[in-house]
Amino acid sequence: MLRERRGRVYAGPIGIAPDTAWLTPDPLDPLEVLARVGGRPELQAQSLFVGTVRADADVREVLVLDYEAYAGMAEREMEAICDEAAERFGAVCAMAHRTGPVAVGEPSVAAAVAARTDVVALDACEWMVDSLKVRVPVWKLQRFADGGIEWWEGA
Amino acid sequence: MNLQDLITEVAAAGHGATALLVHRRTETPQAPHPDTTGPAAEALERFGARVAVAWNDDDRVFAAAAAAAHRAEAFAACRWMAEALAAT
Repeated sequence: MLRERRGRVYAGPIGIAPDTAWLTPDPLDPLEVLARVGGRPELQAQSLFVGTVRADADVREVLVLDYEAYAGMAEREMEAICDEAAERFGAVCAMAHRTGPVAVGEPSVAAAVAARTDVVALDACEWMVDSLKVRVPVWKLQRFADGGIEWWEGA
Repeated sequence: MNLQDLITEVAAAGHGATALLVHRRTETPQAPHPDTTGPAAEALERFGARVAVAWNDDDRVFAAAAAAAHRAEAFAACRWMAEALAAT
């Protein structure tokens, strides 16, 4: 099924397990991602990572990042990462990624974990984000203040 | 304790990576809260990270947020602050 979204998201079945891993063309609320891992009192530690668009990439001023994703595959891979992290770390996990244009200062990605200890919660969250960067088919087009553009593979 | 305020506070530095830890204690926290000025200054020096800490004693919760240029430094600074708070 082909579904159009702001910022050109490519074909694929969208909406896989939106409760734990999802793409969104709308402003991303990291605390909503964190809320998805709540409700387990025995998991005393929660971690959250928020990736935000920076104004500078090396020495060039960035105006906006435009994210594109192969939606079905991207969400499936994000879900797989959540499942693997849950098994590997004994944690509850969720993650979300923006698509479309994201302005400087806005969050583009968020990952959250609930685990038994602080160390495990942070380790799992970092592992998830590292995995997302290399496994999830998301690309970003950097639009610079000097008028230049540059594609980057990987979120 | 407003987690969004905590994230906003550290993100004001303009960094692209923010890590947050929320820890629910089983034991009653001791008052007063520890002075985290030292660990925060060291987090800045070691990891280039801006950090902030908040408590909610009623719920026995503390949170530490760290923002840095790269995610590895943000996570490292958050671990650093968590260790400093766990020792209190």
